[in-house]
Formats: sequence, C-alpha cells, structure tokens
Amino acid sequence: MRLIPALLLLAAACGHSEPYTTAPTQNDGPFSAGAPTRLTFGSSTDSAAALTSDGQGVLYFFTGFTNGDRCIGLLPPGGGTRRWELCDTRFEAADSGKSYSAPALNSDGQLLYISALARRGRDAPDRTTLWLADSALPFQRRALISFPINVGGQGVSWLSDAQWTGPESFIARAGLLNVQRACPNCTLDTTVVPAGVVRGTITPTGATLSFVPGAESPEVMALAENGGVIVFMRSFTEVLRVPATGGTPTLVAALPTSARVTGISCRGSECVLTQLGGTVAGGGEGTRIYRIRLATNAVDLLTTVAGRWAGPVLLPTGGDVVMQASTTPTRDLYLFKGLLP
Amino acid sequence: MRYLCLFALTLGAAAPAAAQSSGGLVGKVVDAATGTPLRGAEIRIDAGARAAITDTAGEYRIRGLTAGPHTVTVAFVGYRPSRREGVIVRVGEITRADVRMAPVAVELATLTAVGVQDPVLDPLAPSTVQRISAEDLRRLPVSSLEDALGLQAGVVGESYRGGRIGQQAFILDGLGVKNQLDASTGGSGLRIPPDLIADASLITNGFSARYGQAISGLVSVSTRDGGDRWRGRMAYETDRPMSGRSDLGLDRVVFQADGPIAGRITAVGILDFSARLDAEPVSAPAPSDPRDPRSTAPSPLPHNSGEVMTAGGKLTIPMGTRVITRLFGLGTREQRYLYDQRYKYDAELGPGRRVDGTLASAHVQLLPSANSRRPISGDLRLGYFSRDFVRGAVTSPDYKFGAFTGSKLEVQGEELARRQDTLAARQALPGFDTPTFSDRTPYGVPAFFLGNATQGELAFNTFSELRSQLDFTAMLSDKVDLGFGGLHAAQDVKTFQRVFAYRPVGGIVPPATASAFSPSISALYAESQVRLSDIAVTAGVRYDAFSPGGSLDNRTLQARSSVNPRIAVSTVLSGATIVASIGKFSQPPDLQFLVDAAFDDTTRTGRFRQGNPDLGFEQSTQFELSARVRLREAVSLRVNVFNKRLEGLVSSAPINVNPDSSVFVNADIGNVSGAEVILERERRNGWGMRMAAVLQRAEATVTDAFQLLRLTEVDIVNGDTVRAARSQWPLDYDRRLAFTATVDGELPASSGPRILGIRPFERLTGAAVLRYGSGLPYTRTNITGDSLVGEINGSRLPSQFTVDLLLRRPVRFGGFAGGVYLDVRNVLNRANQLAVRRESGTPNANDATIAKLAETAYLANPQAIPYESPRYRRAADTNNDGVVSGRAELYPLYEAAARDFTQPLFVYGAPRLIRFGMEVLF
Repeated sequence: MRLIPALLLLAAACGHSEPYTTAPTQNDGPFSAGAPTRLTFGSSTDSAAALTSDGQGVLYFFTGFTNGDRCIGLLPPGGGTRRWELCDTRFEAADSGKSYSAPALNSDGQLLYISALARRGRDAPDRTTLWLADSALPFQRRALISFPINVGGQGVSWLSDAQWTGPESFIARAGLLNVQRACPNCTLDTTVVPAGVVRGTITPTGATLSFVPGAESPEVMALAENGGVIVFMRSFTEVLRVPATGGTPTLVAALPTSARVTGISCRGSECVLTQLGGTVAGGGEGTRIYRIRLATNAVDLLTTVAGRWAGPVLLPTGGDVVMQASTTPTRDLYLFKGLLP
Repeated sequence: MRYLCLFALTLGAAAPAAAQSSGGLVGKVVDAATGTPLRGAEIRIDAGARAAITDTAGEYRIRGLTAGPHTVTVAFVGYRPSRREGVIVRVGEITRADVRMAPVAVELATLTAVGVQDPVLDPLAPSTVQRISAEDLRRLPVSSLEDALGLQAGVVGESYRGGRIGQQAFILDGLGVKNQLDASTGGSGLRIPPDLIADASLITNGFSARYGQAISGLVSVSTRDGGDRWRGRMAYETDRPMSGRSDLGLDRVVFQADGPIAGRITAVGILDFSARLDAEPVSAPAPSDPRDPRSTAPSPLPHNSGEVMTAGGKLTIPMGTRVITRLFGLGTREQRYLYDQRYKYDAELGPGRRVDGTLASAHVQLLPSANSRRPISGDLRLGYFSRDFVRGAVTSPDYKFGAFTGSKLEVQGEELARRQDTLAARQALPGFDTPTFSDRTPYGVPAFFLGNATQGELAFNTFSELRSQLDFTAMLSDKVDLGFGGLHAAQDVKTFQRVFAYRPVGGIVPPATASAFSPSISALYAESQVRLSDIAVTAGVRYDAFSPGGSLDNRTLQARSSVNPRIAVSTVLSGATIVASIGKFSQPPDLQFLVDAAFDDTTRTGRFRQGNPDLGFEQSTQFELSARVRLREAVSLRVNVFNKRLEGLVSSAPINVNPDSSVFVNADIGNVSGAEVILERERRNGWGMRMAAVLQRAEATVTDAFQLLRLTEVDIVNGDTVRAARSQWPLDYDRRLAFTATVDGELPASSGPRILGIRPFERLTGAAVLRYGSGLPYTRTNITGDSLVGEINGSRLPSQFTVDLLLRRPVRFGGFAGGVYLDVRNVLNRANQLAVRRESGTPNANDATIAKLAETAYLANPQAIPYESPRYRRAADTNNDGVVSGRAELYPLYEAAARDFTQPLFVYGAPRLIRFGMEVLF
C-alpha cells in the first residue's frame, strides 16, 4: 500500500515540460551613443520629465499610441524601453481627452498624479482629480482631491512638479489653470497662474493642502538638500530658497540675464537651471544651462546649447541631466552625460 | 533522467473487477435422458444470492440480476448437480439458460448448462445494440466512456448516426440523465469513471418505447454494485517520462474500492482525478518564423490546462428477498483554462470555464416472486441532476502538482451572474478593463493580439432536474411480456450572459440576457413483446409531453405533446436473425433555444439571438432492417440498413434582413440513411477482433441565419432564383464512410524467453484500434467571408485516420497484484484536420487573406513606433533612425503578425498521446 505514494513522488520528480512563455521585449541602453543621447523618439511632445523618489526612473509624458491622449511613462534613466506606462484606455473615458500632470512615484510604487478629462471638443477640463494609485494597478486608484478647491482662501485647480516628502506627504507647485485665447484669432493657450508651493498630506478620506509660507507665486521650483529646502523663482532672475516647512525666502543668487527660465532641478545642494537665450555657434537660438551651488550661493554658466531646452532633471549619480528639447518638431527627451562637472 | 523515470514508472500492479447490473435469466430444466421437464429443481445464482424453483413446465425465471457474469447451479433430488460459470446477463435483457440434468445413476458427459441465449441471434432482442463491457474498457486503448463509444459504428465524435450533438439520450442505471438546457453545445457535466462501469450499450435503432428524449440514439450505462468482499484498485497515469511534444502534462489518479459494509449492504466508492497542462492538445505543425515562440515549443499550449475531478459512491441495500434499494451519487467538476489565439502573448488573460455536474439517485427495485407464474418486477427511480456552467475572465492558475491547482476556478463577475442582475449589468462591470493590442508580440505592432485585459465575457447557466420514474415489467405468459411506466421531471433553468463587460450597454454592446424558468417533461409508455415460435413482435407507444413553464416570456405557454408509436418484428430465417423496426421519436428542443442570448458572434448568429418559447419537439421517424448471423461459433456478422427522417429540427432564422439578429424556429427537415456492417470475433483462445464499416448519408435543410441571407441568389436577367434558400445539404456530421477495427489478444503465461528469471512477455495483453473516416463537410466562402462559394457544406475535409495501441502486463509486487500499461493514441502521429479555413479550403490562410488582414491592420494604425516604446523592434528599424515608421518598416511587421495570428491550431486533431499507467489491486 505504500507503493503508490512512492510512485507518485517519483513521478512528481520527473516534472513536466512547461508551455512557452512570453516576456515584454525591452531595449537596454540608449538607442544612440551621440551627445546628447536621444531618449525618446515620439511623434509628438515628450515632456515634463521627473525623477522617481528612488532615482531609478524618469517619469515623463508622451502621446498615447491610439487616440492622442497624454500618457505617463517611466523610462530607465539611461534610456531604453518604457518600463511602465499609464494611458487611460478604459471605455468609460473613451469620449474624453485626457491629460496628466504632477506624476510622482515613490519607492513603494505609490503613484501620485493629476488627471484632467475634457469631453472631446471642449476646451477646459470637465473634471480634474488628484489620484493615488499603485503603479502596478493604476486604475485601482483613490481620488484624493477633486479640483478646484480653496486652499487658505486661494483657488487651486492644478498641481505640477509634485514630489514625495514622506510616506503620506508630498509637495507640489499649485496654481490656477487658465484656458484662453490671447486674442480672438489666437490659438487656444493653456497656462497656469502660479499660486504657491503647497504641502499635501494624505488622509484616509483624501488629502489636505496647505501653502508653504514664503514660497508664493513660483514660476519654477525644486526640492533640495534632501527635501529640506525649496528652491524657486518668482521672476526670471532671482533664485530664492525657503525651508520646506516655510519661512522667509532668501536670495541664493541672481542670474546674469533676465530671460524665461524653463526649469530647475536639484540634487543635494547643487541645482541645474535652464534659461532660454544666449547665442551659439552659427547664430542660432540657444539655452543657457547654469549650475547653482546653494552652499556658496554661486551661479555658474555651464554651457549654452543650441535650441530650446526645458525641464532639466539632474540624475542621482554623475553629472548627467535629462532635458526636453522644445524646438519644433523634435520635442523629445535627451540625456546630457557629464553636463555637471 | 526521463528514461530513468520511465523505467521507474514501469513498476506497479493491476486488476479488473467483475461487472454487475440489471437483467434477467430464464430457462428450462429437463431430464437429459428423456427430455422430461423437471418441476421443483432449484436454481441458485452465485452461491445462493438469488434462487428460483422450476414450475411444472420445468421453466424458471429470475429477474433483477445484476449485469455481468454469474455462476448458475441447478440441483434436484436424484440428479447430479449442474454448475456453469460465466453465464452473462446483459442490461435490460433476458438471457436464456436451459439445463439438461443427468440422473445420478447415469454417466453423461454433457452435464452442464447448455443453450445460453446467443445475444447475436436472440430473436427476442429487437434493438441494435453495440456493447462496451468493463473488459473492453480495460483491454482497449480508451480512457473514458466517450472514448469507447467513439469506437462504435455510426458514431462521429459525439454525433450518432449523423445527428446533431445532444440528440441522443443518456441512461445511467435506468435513469435518464440529460442536460436539456444546452445539450447541443455542452455535455451533462458528469464524467462516468470507467472503473465504475459494469456495462455500457449504444442503441441506435427503434429501441424500446421506454426511452425518450432521443432522436439519434441511446447510451445506457450500468454501474457496478459492491462485491461480497472488499477489493479495490489504485492507478496512476502520466506522461511525465516523455519530453517535448509528447509531454502534455498529464497526471491521473484513480482510487476505487467496493465491498460489504454491513450484512448484505455493499458499497462502491471512487475518486478519479485527472489534470493535463494541455487539455486540448493539437498536432498543428510548428511555425517556421523563429520569432514565434511555438517554433521551438509547439506544445503544450499555455493557459490551456484542465482538471477533471470526479467522486462517486453507491450503496446497494437488499431489503428482504424481493426489494433492493440502491443509492447513488456522482459529482464531477471540470475546470478549464482556455487558450485563445488572440491572447497568445498574454495567455494569462484567456478565459476559463468551470462545469459542475451532480447526480444523486435512489432506485428501489421490486424483484419478482421466484415462484410466481406471472412474475412482475418494478423499478422506482428518483434522481436529482444538476449542471452548473460558468465561463469568463479568470485569474492565472496556481499549479500545485502538474496541472492540479487544488482550488476552485473563480470567474470574475460570477456573483453578479448568479444574481442575474441585468440592471447592474447595464453598466461596465467592476474589475473589467478594456483590452488593448498586446505590446508583447515579436512584431510590436498594434494588431490582432490582445493584452491588458480580458475580452469581458461572462456566461452562466444552471440546469437542474428532479426526475421520478416508474417502470414495470410483467411476464403475462410464456409468450407475452408487458412493460409500462412513466416519468415526470421538474426542471429549473437560469441563464445569464454579458459580453464586453468592460463597456456599458449601448451601441454594439447588447444588453445582458437572463432567464429563469421551470419547464417540465413527462411521459407514459406501454410496450409488449409477443413471442410466437421464432417470431417476436415488440410494439409500444410512448406519450411525451413538454412544457416550458409559465414564467417564461411573461405569458402562459401551452404544453406540447407527442405520441410516438414503435414496433419491431424479429424472426430467424436460414440461421440469421432478421429484425425490422420502425418508430417515431420526439425530444424537446434545447432549452437554450427558448431564451434570448447575447453573443459576440457576428458571423453565425449575430450579437443578439432571440429566443423562441413556442418551439416544439424535434422529431424523427426511424426505420431499420437488420440481419444478424453467426458465421462460425465465435464469429458473428451484423448488417443494419436504416433510414431516419428528421422533422422540426431547430434552426436559426434571420429576423427581417438583419444578419446580426436571429430567432430560432422548428424549421429544418432532413434525412439520414445508411448501412452498417459489423464483423466480430468474440474473445476466445486469447484474442478477439471487431470490424465495423458504415456507409451513410445525412442531409437536412440548413436555414442558418448567416447562410440563408447570403445564399439566396436571384438571376439578374430573368429574376429566377438560381440558388434556393432552402434545400437539403449535408449535415455537419455527414461522414459518408467510416471504418473501425479493433483487435486484442493476450499471450500465455509461458510466452517468450526468460531473462534474468523473468518472462517479459508473460501474459502480456495488447490491443490496437484502427480508425478511418471520410471527410466531413464544410462550406466554402469568399475571402471576405460574406459570400458562399458553392453549396452549403459542399466541400469536404480530408479523411481522418488513426491507430491506437495499448500494451498491458501484469506485475506483482510483494503481496499485491497489479500491472503496468502503455497507452498510445494516434501512434502514427498523423495530423488529422478537423476543420479548414472556409476561404482557403486549407488549414492555413492563403497569402491573399494574410495580405488583406495585414493591410487593414496597418491602415488602422500606421503610427510610427518610437525607440522607447515597448512596441519598438530594433530589427524592423531598417534605417536605424530610432523609429519604426513608414510602410516599408511597418507593413512587414503587420504581415508577420497576421501570419502568426492565422496559424491553424485547433483545426488539427490530437497528436500522438502517450501515457504510462500503473495499477495496484488490493
């Protein structure tokens, strides 16, 4: 009677052939090794790069493959195949255009983002929501805030540049979304009127926002010194700093020229800032790239690169910076290796 | 390693079991010297389990014997006791065993029973019966009742004599068991373990008026009773020692035991669990494109596993000398993960299906009085049968052992389906997401293959039936038998279907359909057999009634009824038994045709199919002439010629001119005619053989909604209809020629050389089955699929041919008897084609079809694929610019994807299947 169990065990040891399996095809490393290295080749704009909390990926926006909606993607910092993407292809939303903002992914895989849905043919969003999702299950999500809301007496309808500051807290640039035409025959323009930097706290029922005192009306902002300092600009010349908990802003440095600043990114006490302008060989339009050292309040012009660049992301190691080329028609992300000495 | 396993697995043990069930034994006891009938002789069956005394004519009658071999002993004062073993009693039949007894003082060589009724020549048996004994199930390369039935003449798959699937009745221990809801598309949900079967029969002609609900045939199965001592069998089957395409992940474990539990009460219990990683293997060739994962691993297919778990038990409770009660229970759960070519690269998103079948029955058998001159026997049967079906989105299986998951397959949304909440189902169902084109394919392009989410299918139905059945058989005289009885079955049906569950209802998304109603069927019958010398006339009439119940369609529906006379005349002419029979048969339509249904099948019945509660019986009138003759003592020949007229077959008809909707009606008529020749050599001297050849033509009108709309063709010049919408075409199972041969034998104990003290061929048994079938019909269409080419079912598939083999050798281990066996199906690994593409007539799509599919897909999504996209394939980026763009780079990917997508899989039959088995008797 003990024979059969023994034979069963023996048979189990033999094992079975497994069916074929398929795994996602991935490209490792950048497509070309040129300088700068092109990371994206999308037919439309790839923009608003943001580093994940663990520094292991770059979140960015791209245009969805099938319906033109904006999607969020996650790229390896050094380039390659998107490791993850969020495109709302659910049928319920098929009659609406979707856009996203303020993506922030922490090391637990929690994804914070804003979605804006506009019925096809409508200009302004009908519904704007701040969501908290698991990046593995992006549509099993929790609505934290439905915009617009009143924060300390000010209206807020949009967030951008969100960054996690703790397991249940984040910081972001808040403003009012404005969709209008500058003139009767002008094209529709979407702008954000900056209100301030807000601190968000996630609660069981949603999230609360409060303005960080001293960081009002930021055109650009970044967290520095391990999240303890907010570096921001109210104008296009003065770089200010304020404790992340709020306080009186102090001047870090003044840029030598006044021109549109298109982004700032910090790592520790060093920041990279992009400002349109400057001349390059051949007389074309250029973008100045500055290094700002918070420890010494120093500003250094690193280089002026041809074209219009924005949204720098200082990667966690080395001097590599990811930036978005904003020159039509190539609005892609590029990697500048060793830009920071 | 695998061959070590093979060697190791070739160790085990085996055993059959005696077959038993219900039939009768009659005979006459005479003085061997004078021929004088002996009154008062005592007939004992199986050492006195049953007994009878001969009457003044020397006759005895014993009814209610379990089918199978019995030992008959006859004793009478002054005479030498007579004993004969192995007298076979067949289910539902009377076997005749006359006995010549010799006085004690007289030495007589032939002292044993003689004249056991020949089942071949018996003129009293009007049915055309093909039997499957427990011995057959053990000796032949079959592992299920369905396999064994497939060897019989007139059977094509689950179609009998050209009929549609489900047009046959299934009788288990005399009780009708049928999934009346969707027999044409789903089985009963019950799997009868072969170890539980004592005897099975396939009856294809005008059989007894006792049976209804069948217009194509009758399958009758008798299960075994417990024996008078405890015994059992454990078996394990696997294909683990094999590798590559021969390892389909099979594991099967069987445990069966029976014996007495208290007094004369006996019990039988069985567990039969099997699982296979590829539950529906195909012999489709490996594709040549190296990017296709099937090119190197053509099988097993992923997400195509299945488990079948059956548990059953039976209690036999003798109550006094004339009453036996049997309690029987059987439950089967079959759960399948279903490979879907659309999800080839995201296989885990394929659908799943779970079917639960349950049967609980009680049978009270009244045996006739042993000394009655007018013996009457009766059977009261009560049965509860249910079948529960659910199909839809499932989570990936978590295998525990082989393909065994050890858990219930859960279908997403099942709870809502069971609630039949059609209101909530108007919205997109929670948890369902929209499928998108897969980005995991080797081609990257968004075409054909799906990912991200399931298809959003949710289907549920349940059918249950409480059946009571009463049957009496009376022997009015030596020449006249009378049977009568009736049944009533109260049924309960619930259905629910939802498609595109990730979308709210509207547009192309039809509303969820649901139904809940309680139909019933009832029947009365009377049948008599009159025997006049060598002529027997069997005549009967059956009244069938069927009511859909009052809750369907919100109106009172009339019951339908049908009177079905049947008559058979049998006699013996020149040593051959000739039987002519004619009978009318009715069966209620599948209940699924009475209710609305939602589908995603635009090419056949549309997305919405309207039920018709007014459907009536499907009917047939069958005529058969058969001749049975013994060519030699052990060799018999049977020839059956039959004609079956079909009427009122359910078919779908279009609603107006909308091909996307249809309604069911009793519209089709047809005709099946043919001849069967069966040559059989009984198992004697270690071997037996059987050959069956069938010539058949099965045709009917085919008023299919899809085909009707496209078939009618009017001459544009004179306005004449050049192709009518309604005429007879071959039925789907119109196999014109079929041939089956089985041969089996056993080597004697001293066979072969002795090697290391062992004779490897000692008592080795072997069986081979050869099958040939001419091609089944199919309909050609043009490349777009919207026009027929030629007639409906006007083309033929290639013929099919298989050879199966079973080798078994008894082995003893310690105190256990047992055996090991090797079962090989489709030994030649022939790739039989079960279907072809309608537009090409071959399994593969032709270049034009692929080009059309590729072009359509490319035009739908001509977008460039950037480097960072998961869809980017560097090899396709021929100009190396980081973007796969333009027709030159994109179209070849679409074409390769189309070729992959259209590769034929399930159009091929099973490949060579090898299983090793071991069994231990205890």
